[in-house]
Amino acid sequence: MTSANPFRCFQGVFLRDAFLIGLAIVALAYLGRRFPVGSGVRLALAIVQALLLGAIVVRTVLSIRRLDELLLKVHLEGIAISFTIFASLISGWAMLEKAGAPSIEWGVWAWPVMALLWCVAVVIRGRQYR
Amino acid sequence: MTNRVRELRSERDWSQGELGEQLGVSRQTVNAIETGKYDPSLPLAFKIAALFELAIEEVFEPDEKPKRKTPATAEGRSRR
Repeated sequence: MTSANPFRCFQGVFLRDAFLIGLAIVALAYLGRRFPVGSGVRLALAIVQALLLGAIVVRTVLSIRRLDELLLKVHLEGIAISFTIFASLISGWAMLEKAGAPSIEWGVWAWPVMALLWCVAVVIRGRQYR
Repeated sequence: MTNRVRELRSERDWSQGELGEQLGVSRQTVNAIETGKYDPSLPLAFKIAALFELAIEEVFEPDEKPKRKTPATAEGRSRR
């Protein structure tokens, strides 16, 4: 039997991998600061960072696919809901910025905000099937 | 869709967890199917029916049976 915890796919090996990849991205960001903007080395480091982000995406998708069909449905609905809310949030904030609200660097905040929205959506949708 | 999963499981004295283990799904999924909150996919429905050694229609039943067109009705419509 598989566990009923909808987040079980993000435990153990996934957490370790995500932590290591995140650490590598931050380390590369600090390393990149030593080189001038536009230099070949800095661009190469930025490309590696982007590829590492891609690795997290692949790792996440592979983890979700191990879930059973109901939990997979809950996660896919969670992703759809969080995507819609997040897209609305970015557009809404862009309008607020034009009106004088502080600027937010979405490149940094996109992951934590979307992950949080995803988790909340999964918990809410998961309750429906209990 | 209604189903007899809970009844069939109880007859065999299996827990939801034990049934889930045999089907390769979580206890929550078994519970959601039994309570009618979730309709399983066709492959899972066949797997459930096979586990209970029954035909799929003996385990699952639609809320409303689809209306079949009688040959006379179909013929009548094609003439219009």
